[in-house]
Amino acid sequence: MTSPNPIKSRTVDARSDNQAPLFGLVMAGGKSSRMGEDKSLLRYGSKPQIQVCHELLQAFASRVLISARTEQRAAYAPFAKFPELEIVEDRFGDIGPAGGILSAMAAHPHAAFLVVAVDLPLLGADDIQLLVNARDCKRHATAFLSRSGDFLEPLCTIYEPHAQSQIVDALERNVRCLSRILCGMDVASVIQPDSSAALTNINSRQEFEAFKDSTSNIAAGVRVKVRYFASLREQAGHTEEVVADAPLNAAALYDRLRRRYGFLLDLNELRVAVNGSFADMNVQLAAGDEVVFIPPVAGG
Amino acid sequence: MSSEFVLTTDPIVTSVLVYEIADRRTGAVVSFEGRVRDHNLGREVVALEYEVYPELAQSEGERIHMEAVHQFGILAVRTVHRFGKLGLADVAVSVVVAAHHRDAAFAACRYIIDELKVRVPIWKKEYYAEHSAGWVGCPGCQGKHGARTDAVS
Repeated sequence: MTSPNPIKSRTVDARSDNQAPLFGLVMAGGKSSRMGEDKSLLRYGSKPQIQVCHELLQAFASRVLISARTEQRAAYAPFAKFPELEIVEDRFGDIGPAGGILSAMAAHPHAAFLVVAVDLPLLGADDIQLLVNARDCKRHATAFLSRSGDFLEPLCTIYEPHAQSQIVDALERNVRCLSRILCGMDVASVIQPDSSAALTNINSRQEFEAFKDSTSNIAAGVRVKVRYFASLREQAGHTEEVVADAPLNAAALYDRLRRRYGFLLDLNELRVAVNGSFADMNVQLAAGDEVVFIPPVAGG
Repeated sequence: MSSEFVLTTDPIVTSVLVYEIADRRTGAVVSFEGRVRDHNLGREVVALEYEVYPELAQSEGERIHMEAVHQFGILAVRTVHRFGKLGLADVAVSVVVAAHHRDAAFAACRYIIDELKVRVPIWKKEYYAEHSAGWVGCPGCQGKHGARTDAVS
């Protein structure tokens, strides 16, 4: 039943009609000892990471919980805009994320949990979509497999209700490492996307500063509307969509959409319009912008 | 000076535009019609479909009109572009310019149709007799028959 070697787990795209409701679980309870401050309150863009994760998961989950320690409650109080911030306290204290997940599972035994660590600032909706698409509720979990095939990501992962007994068993054997626990499960795996740095986690102040410098113009976070015309409309399969965590410039947004839809046109064959006017491909996008990529025109 | 740029799904009747545009100052009216022809680059075309990005097509079309007015000093201009599905011989676009003298009218009309073709977000899908179709000017988007780049008129 178990497959200790993640390479043996197959990539599946199966859905069942009787799957458990999917709850989101933001793992914010880490001690952040290397960072020296609560990682969930860091701001890579305009919002603290706890809020970014919460919003990200809301698109996929019927309910989103925050796994945190008792003493973090006070720190989250200032988010007045966040009345729905629902905290599930880690009852196990110091044993790491496995304890936080188990606490949530114990409180909601019939739910599956889409678990996401709060320190993955590049994680985007399309990454999670891949995971959700691959969900196999007959397995214990659905997880990203590294391209090298040797690592299953335990903190951007869907755990089904029956994974609870696996975690309990492991903890009873004194196995606390979530990564090891996951390797002991029956896992549906998804190969990590090509160039994705989505699962890069940020642990220290130094990493945080370096990261902010290197991604100042691609940091995730703006919600924009994209409209499609002509060949792009046909290839996308719809006329418009809202992209919740668009990169901050149009060229990077096209790159991402192109990966998703397999657009045939190169960036240099397109023009872009933002809010109804032609714009530079490197234009910075702001929340609420309407973006249209314009294939070669042929009026007349 | 009057300027009107219109996107429509209705059939275009250029003679009406010509009739309406002239006033007593007008010494020259030049009109251009782009029509759906039955062939393009050696392939038999049976129908065309135009798609527009209405907001930007409208503003860019009006901008081209203003440029023509400033460059050529014309008296009036009307451009009507049709979109949706068109049959053979239908008028796809009509540009009608009124000016004091013919030089300005010809030059402005030419300028407007040339700029429209490269700047206004309107796309054309050709349907071919062999039951395939493709977006004009969009290499790689046309299925097995490959890229075609051309204009209808």
